[in-house]
Amino acid sequence: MESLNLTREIVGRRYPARRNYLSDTWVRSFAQVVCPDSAGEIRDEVPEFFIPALRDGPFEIFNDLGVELKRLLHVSQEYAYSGALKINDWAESVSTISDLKEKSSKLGSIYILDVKTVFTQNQKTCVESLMRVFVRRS
Amino acid sequence: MALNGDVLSTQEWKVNVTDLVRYAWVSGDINPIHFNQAAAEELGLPGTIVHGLFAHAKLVAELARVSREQKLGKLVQTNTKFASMMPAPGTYTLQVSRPGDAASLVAKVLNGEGALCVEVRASYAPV
Repeated sequence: MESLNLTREIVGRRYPARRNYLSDTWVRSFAQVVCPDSAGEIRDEVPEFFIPALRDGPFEIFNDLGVELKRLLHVSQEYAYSGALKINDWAESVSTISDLKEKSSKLGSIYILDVKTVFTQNQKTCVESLMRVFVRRS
Repeated sequence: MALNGDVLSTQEWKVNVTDLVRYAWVSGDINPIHFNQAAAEELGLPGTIVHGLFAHAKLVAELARVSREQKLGKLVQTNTKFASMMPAPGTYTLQVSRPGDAASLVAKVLNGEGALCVEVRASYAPV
């Protein structure tokens, strides 16, 4: 708990860009697990259901903030899709802590942490996400 | 064309720990609470639980199929709420319905008692 770093000062913190190569093999393997019927329909665009595989880099963020995974509750996730990511190309994602609030709830005192991530390909924004988690203080 | 409020699709989803190991492998989400009983119990959980984003991905895939049938156009936004944990192994219901808004769909994972576990609201724009 001593290492928990959740103050308003972290709002706006931007994490280094992450790069993922969207190989045909990876996308099809993911589709086989999630929705086998769709794997054969995949052509050159990444289906929207694959985007969670890019994962917003949350583990790095929570490590940085000193938040143990057991204190987390993933409450919501938004995605806005403005363009399709192409298979067999690189995608880049940049995450920023967009908000932090503290409140009392039935879970006890909690933090509400929002992380915004922008996914781009060849400098073009394709997807934006907003992840909200609750962090229990104890 | 379906009427507002209609349930457009219902199917059963049986999920076991092997499925969760496979999802961890392809997604990189290797939190052991999803596939290791002891790790889950250590954190006060009754047992292994389904990755929330696995359920999200499953629902978004089903939404893609239904939206094609309904000719709703291009997916522009999804809003997902994780309402309750999904123990695994377990059997769940995936349901897609059309709310009041003609350009949207709602997909849900319901547990055996019919309680909501995960909900995805999807908005579409004409192509």
